[in-house]
Amino acid sequence: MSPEERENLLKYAAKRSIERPTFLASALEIYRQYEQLDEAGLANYFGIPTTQLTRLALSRRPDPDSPTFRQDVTAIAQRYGFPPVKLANLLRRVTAYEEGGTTAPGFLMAARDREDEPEDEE
Amino acid sequence: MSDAEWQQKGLDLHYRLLQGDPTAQSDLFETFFLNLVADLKKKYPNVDTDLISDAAYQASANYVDNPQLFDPTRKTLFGYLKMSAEGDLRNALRSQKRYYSKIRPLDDVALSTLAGNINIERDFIIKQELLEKLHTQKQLNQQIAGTNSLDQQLLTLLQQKERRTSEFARVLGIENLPVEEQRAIVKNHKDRLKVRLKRSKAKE
Repeated sequence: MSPEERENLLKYAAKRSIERPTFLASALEIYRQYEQLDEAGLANYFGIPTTQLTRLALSRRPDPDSPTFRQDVTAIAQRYGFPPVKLANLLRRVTAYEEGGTTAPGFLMAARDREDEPEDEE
Repeated sequence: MSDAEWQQKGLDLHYRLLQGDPTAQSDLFETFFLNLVADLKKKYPNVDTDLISDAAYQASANYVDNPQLFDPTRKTLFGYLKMSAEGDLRNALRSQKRYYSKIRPLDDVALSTLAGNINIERDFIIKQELLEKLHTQKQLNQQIAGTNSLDQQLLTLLQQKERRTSEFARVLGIENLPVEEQRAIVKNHKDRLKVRLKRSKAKE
């Protein structure tokens, strides 16, 4: 199997996983849509190449209400080489979108502002 | 990677999943899912690649969602995923076949134009299945007869349900011998090949 075929198959799996809430792909897709980002924009948010984004999408989606949330986020961030706060913020925002439909631009701006503040996940 | 290494890799991934390691599932896709697709493509060369990728994905994703259903004392992880994917693949092929056979009666009525396309697709699936069967038969023959072309020709006659001794005698080049002797020689060869066929099928 050529490297290109492997990448295409992993992309296919990541895309299929959008429908599965246990995969991080589901949260990344919601965030991508709300933030109107393309694949490169999302990779840029994390500061990783798009090939890594595919693998990130196939990871398990940490649950913000779970006691292992911090540990899970850190494990994923360390694996793919980005600050844990990026993923923690994204997941909290996505949970908020899903639970209350808090989609007002004000909320997004406030969330963006908060991203600059120090977080306990870092 | 050797079988033992694969087995160990499968066990490691399985325990990482059970322990809740959030990166274990992406490792599973990068190794087992990709190898599963490659393995299924090799085994089913005439089946649509999309169906194969879909079956491999379903098997991998279902396992990730319920890793506790896999019993490592009974099977290797790869064996477990392959069995699951092959089940899905057969179901998909069966439902495609059923779908196309159900819509055939409509051909004559209002869907005459569409029916042409449907028939082409249905015929394509039937042809794929036949090719699959032929491929499996060819592999089986090669497994039994090896490079012995005489045995391969005799096997082909057996599979074609050829009953005439004269046909087997012709392949064996013993047409000039008395008929009784031809029968005895042909019977010996047929019995020998039938035993090999039986053994080979039992191994499968």
